[in-house]
Amino acid sequence: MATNETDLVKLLPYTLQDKTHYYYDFVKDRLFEVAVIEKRVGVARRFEKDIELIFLLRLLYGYFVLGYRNYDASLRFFESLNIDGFQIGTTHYSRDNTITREWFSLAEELEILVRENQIERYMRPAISTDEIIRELLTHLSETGEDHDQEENS
Amino acid sequence: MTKKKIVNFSLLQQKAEDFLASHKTSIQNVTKSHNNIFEVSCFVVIAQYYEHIGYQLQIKNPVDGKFRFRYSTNGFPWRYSYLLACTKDDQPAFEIWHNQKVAGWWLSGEDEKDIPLFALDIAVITPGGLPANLQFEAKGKGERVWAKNDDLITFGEAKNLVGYPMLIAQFLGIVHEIKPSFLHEKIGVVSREFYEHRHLPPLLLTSGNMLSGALRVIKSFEDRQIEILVIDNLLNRSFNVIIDQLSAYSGKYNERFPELGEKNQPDAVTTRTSLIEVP
Repeated sequence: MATNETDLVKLLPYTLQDKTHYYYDFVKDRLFEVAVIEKRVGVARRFEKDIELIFLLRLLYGYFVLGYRNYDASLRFFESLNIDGFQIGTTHYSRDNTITREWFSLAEELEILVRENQIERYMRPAISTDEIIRELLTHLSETGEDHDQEENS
Repeated sequence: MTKKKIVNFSLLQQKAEDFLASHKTSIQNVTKSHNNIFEVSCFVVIAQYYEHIGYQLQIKNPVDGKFRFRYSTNGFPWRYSYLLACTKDDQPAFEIWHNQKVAGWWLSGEDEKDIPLFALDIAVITPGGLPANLQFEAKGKGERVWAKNDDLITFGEAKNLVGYPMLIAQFLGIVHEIKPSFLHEKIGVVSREFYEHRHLPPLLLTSGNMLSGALRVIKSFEDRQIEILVIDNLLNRSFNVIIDQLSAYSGKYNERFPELGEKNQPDAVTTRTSLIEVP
């Protein structure tokens, strides 16, 4: 279990903090519903923060990695019509502006983080929240650090 | 014997903290643009759907070499960009506008001065339904800057939210005011041309997932003969997957209306942008 951790949500911009809290509420609901079915409520309680961390990264992955791919697809759409990006208000979005470079770099580094820590599977949109929770509960109980006595009795 | 942990959570926590701390400014900047870009993504998905089923798209009114989106409902149409969709033989078929005011269905035909207007995130209208060629000129006296309801073919609403039941109810309310024929066959008629040209019924596009209550409401639409489309989780899915799903949906119009036949349907073509693979 991760210990002495900083609250990662506090490092996010406010709008993203709100989204994360809503997302955590949803994940928590699912976590304990799945845990009851799987008879792993103790594991869920013990490793709640670790499971939350995976879902925080899943949220960020959607936002920055998949979000970048779709942003890039939008740019390519306009390029295919011989237009160099788009303009919203006074902000321009094109292949060579700062926001594109920043977003690309975020996507790239987050992808490396996910790959190096072998959690790519949990980032895939095709895998449902329940499925991830089931796998994590199984994985965490099999590692044997903190078997729940109550559930094993 | 216990199995080895695959994920080292303490290390992962540290790496995530380092990532967030070292990219604080970039994360702030990208997050600020995210909402606007979500609407752009919705617009592009709809445009690419039409391109995919065979329409040729042209950008009209580009500004400084860019597509200029309208993020205020008060702007004059001729100061913003839009897409003109043409058939294979280069005939203008319809236009796609962003954030366009349109007259409601129920009070159309009444005094134009007091007509209630609704700003739609994505509006598909008949060609020439708006004055678009007065580039950068001031509004002339009596110049109409909104589309008539008869000129509106279909529309999409983009919501950067999860899908909850009330959101679906709100969208139904919008459809009821603007295109009620999609809610009940006795209110107005969806034209034969609509299906021939493979237009899509009113679309709700959300960035988040549909919550279970919302899904149950949506599932009930078929029995209630409500024809709307909901695309959820848009930012976490490949555009091409969504476009394929939309094409499959409109591809079945022939099954529902065999009298439509094949002759008027544009041939499917490959999109000009390359495919994006989601892992």
